[in-house]
Amino acid sequence: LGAIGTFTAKPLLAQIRAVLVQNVDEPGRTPYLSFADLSTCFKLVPCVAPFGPLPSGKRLVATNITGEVFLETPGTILSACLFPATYYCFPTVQQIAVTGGPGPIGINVGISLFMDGPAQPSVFFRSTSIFEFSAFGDQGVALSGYLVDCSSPGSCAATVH
Amino acid sequence: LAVLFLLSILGRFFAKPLLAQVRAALVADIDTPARAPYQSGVFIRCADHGFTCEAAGNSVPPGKRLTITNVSGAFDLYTQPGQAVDLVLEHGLASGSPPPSNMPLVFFPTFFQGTDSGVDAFVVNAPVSAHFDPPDYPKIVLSLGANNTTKSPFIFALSGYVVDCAAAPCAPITF
Repeated sequence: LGAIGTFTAKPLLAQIRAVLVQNVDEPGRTPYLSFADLSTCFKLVPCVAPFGPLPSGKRLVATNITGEVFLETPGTILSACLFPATYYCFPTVQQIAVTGGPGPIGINVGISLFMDGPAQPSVFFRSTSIFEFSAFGDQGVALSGYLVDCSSPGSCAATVH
Repeated sequence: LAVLFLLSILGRFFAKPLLAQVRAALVADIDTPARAPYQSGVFIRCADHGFTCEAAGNSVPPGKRLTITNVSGAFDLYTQPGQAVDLVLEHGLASGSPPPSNMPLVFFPTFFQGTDSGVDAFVVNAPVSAHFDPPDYPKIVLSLGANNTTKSPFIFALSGYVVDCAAAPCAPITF
């Protein structure tokens, strides 16, 4: 056996591999992605659109907001903010100097927003003109990030203000 | 002996590799931002034609270190010629003394969004990396041009996280 082992066994060092670990808070394991359809804002000013509600016991870490809205031209978004967070606003970008019909305004911003379930995030737009339907058939805003599980007592500290 | 030899040969070809039998160990990072978030709103009401005004956040709790990762906000100014806006995140010292000259200032740009009824709308959203130890606090300092007049209080959201320096040691902040 000793002779056979000498020739067939792998060296001890070659059998050692890195220890695998799994991070419970890895963003890709509990992603959040919600789309607010802005067709409900047609002809309105200002506009409020809800995202999907957060599950109880979960905390949302929102990392990005992206989208496209259409306003009657000439028009612009004066401010775009997320609620019920504390005055979390983000810039929008006029896409083209359209002089008639619906004009597109783009959004793509990295954010760092925390919100505890069962709150329901929503986006509020203050604009100089009314919302129009998209020239391309779709418009809305997507909020993305990830959730952490706060259901176990003591697993999540309260947000410091 | 022949049977043992045969078993060892079979084992080499049919046994699952050791690595495939190991399940990942579940770990939680005590410094995960989402586990101890910081999110604070600050208001600034500048006096008309005021050149500089500031708003302070709360002091960092004892035993913690605050890391601010993002500043966001919105504000309006009456449209004026010679308009100028300068926005900075600074260290507020509990001693009340001015910060040392080597303490960094964090600047962030403002985005002009448009004009409505003689009011210019601005929005701020910037990733930052600023650290505060107790009993210091973050503060937003706003400097305006000579002709600027604010329409309403400025509002800003500071967000980030706190680490517990009692649970694990924190090295001093190097400026």
